[in-house]
Amino acid sequence: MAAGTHVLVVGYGNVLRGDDGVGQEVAEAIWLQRDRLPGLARARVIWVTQLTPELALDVSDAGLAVFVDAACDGRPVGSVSVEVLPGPSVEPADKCGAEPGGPAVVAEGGRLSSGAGCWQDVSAAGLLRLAAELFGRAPVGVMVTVSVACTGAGEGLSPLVSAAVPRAVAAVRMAIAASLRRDGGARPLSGARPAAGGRGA
Amino acid sequence: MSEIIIEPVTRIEGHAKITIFLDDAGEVRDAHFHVTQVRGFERIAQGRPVHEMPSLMARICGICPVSHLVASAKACDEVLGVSVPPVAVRLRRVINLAQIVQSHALSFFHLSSPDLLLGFDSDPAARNITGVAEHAPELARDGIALRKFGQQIIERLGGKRVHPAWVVPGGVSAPLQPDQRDAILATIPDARARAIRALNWFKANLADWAEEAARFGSFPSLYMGLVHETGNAAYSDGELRIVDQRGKRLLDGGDPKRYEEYFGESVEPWSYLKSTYYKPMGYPEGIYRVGPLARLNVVDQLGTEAADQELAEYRARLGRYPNSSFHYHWARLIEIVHCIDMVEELLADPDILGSDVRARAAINRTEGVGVSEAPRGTLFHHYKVDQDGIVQWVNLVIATGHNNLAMNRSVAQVAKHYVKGADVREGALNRVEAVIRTYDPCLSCSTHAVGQMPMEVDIVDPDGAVVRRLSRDGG
Repeated sequence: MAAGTHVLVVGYGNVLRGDDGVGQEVAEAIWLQRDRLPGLARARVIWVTQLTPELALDVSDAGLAVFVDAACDGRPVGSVSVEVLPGPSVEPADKCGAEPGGPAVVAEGGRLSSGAGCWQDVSAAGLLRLAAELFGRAPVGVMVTVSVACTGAGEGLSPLVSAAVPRAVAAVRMAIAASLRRDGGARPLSGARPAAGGRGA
Repeated sequence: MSEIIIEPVTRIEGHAKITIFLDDAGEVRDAHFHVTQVRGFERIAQGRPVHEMPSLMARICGICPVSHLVASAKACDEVLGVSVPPVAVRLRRVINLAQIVQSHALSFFHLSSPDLLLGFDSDPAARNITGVAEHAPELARDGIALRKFGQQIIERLGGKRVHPAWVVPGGVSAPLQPDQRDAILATIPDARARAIRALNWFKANLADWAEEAARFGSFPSLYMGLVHETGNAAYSDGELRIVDQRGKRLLDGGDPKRYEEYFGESVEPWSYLKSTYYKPMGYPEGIYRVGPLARLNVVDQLGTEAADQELAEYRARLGRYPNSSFHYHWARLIEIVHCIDMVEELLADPDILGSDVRARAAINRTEGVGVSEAPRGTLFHHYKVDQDGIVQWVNLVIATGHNNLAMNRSVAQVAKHYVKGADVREGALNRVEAVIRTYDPCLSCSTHAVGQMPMEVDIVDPDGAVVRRLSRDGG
C-alpha cells in the first residue's frame, strides 16, 4: 500500500428491503471488529443506503476501496463472491456501469443496489471513474457480494444470508491482505493529469 | 383526443408521471403532472406521542429531513408551550441552512446541470453527473464539495448526515462544541469560492438558455416566503409574505399559525398531491409559487453582503420580480451563497456556544403549528393532540404542494411549445421533465436506489389504444 493511503470499506444497500441490507450489515460488523482484525485497524468504514457521487471524494483518498453489496445473481443464497473491479480507464457498456434498458432491479452483474439510475446514485465502478475523472486518482476497487433471495419490504436478513456475514467479513479481510501483499496501493491513472483543485496521483 | 404519458419523470425526488393531452388536430390541449405515490404520514402519526413527531416526520424525506425536523419541532414547541432558548433557535437555523445548501447542490449540480451543460437535446445516456464530470470536472467537483459541505455540517451538529435527531421539541439536544464550530468555519471559504464560481459559470451562459427561460413556466403568479421584520430572508422563522407579480403585498407579517386562513387545499382525482391556492383569490386563480424564485421575489434583501451583490445583479438582469421558473436555478445558486454567509455569521457569534439549548415542559396545549423554509419552499406542520400528548390529527402542507398548480401550468406551457402531435423528439420530452426539475419537487424521496429509470411516452388514441410508444433508450 502506498504511503499515506488507507483502506476504504463501503457497505451499501437498503436495510428496509430484507437481504438487500447485507452490505451495510457486513460493513457494520467490520467496524465493530476493526481493532481485532488484522489490516482493518486503520480502515475507514462507511455504510450507506446507496452510492452517491459525493463518495467519489472519499474513494479518491483511498488506496484500496472494498465495496460490499447484495447480489441477485442466481448463485446459491449466501454465496460470497469477490471480484476486482475494472480500472477507471476501462469503458463499460454505458458510463454508469448499468445496462441501458435492463431489468428494473438488476444491474451491473446482477447486483441489486448498484444504482443504475445514474442521477443521484452511481455504481461502484462509476465511483472509481468519477474519482479518476474529478480528482485524478482512483484506488484499486474490489467488489464483495453476497448472493441473496429476499428483497421484499422488511427488516432483517434471511438465515442463510445472515450466516454469510462472517464469511463476507473474511472476504473483505482477504481482499485487503492480498492488496497489501501486492502493494498495489493507490494507482495513478495512466496518462491522467491531476485536475485543478483535485488531488494529484 | 390522444394522450402522451411520461412515466416515471426522472431526476426528481420521488416518482411521478406526466400526461400530455392532444386534441384531434394533434396539438397539445393540456398537461397534468401526476404524483402517483401515497405518503400516508398524516395517518401513520395518529396515536403516536407528540415527542416522537420530529424524528418520525423526518423520515418523510431523505433529502431534506432537517426541514421536517425543524417544522415539526416548532409545532411541538407550541404544544409544549415553551419558549425555545435563543442559542437553540440559532443552532436550528444553522442546521437548516446547511440542509438548504446540500439540497440545492443536489438539485443544481447533480440533477439539472447535465441539461444546462450538455444541452437539453444531448445524448440522454450521457446527460447525468458522470457526463458533467467528463465535460466540466470543476463544475462537478464544486457540486460534490458543496453537497458534502452541507452534509458535514448536519453530521457535525446532528451526529449523522441523514435523519439526525438533534433538533428536538424545546430546542436541540446538545450544545455546540468549540471544535465543532471551528471545523465548520474552516470549510466556509472553500464552499463560498465554489458557490461563487458556479454562479459565475451560470451567469456567463445564461444567454444560451434564453429560449428555455422564455418557455419554462414563464407566467405571472403570486409568490410566498418567510421574511424577517427587517425584510431579510428567513428560513427557520419569520413571518409570511405574499406578493403578486408586480410586487404588491397581498399578505405581509402573516402569522404562520393562521395558514388555514390564507390557503385552501384542492384535491384532483388524477394526483395524490394536493394543490394549494391563495384563498382570497380562489381555486385555481390563487396560483402561487414558493422556493428560491419566490423567496428572492418576496424579500427586500437577503441580508448578507455577497448574496445581496448577487441579488442586485439578478434583479438588474431579470427585473425585480422574475416570473419564469427557469430562474429557480439562478435563485438557487444565490441562496447557496447566502446560506453559507449566514452559517458563518451565526457561528462567528461567541454566544452560539451557550449551553442553554433546550426548554422542557409537559403538554400545555392541544394544538401546534410549525413552519420552516425547506429548500423547495415553505413547509407547514400542524398537529392536534389530546391532553396526554397523543397525536390525534396531522396536516402537512409541503412546498411541492404549494407549487403544484404552477408545476402543472408550466408543464402545459412547455408541452404546447415543444410537443407537436405524436412525432415527439426526446429533447422535447426532456424539456417537459426539465421544467418540473426547476421546481426541484420532493415527492417522497430517500432510498429509491434500484432500477433504471426509463422514460416512456405512450400516445393513446381516444379509445385507449397505444398508437405509439417511445422510450429514452429505444425511441
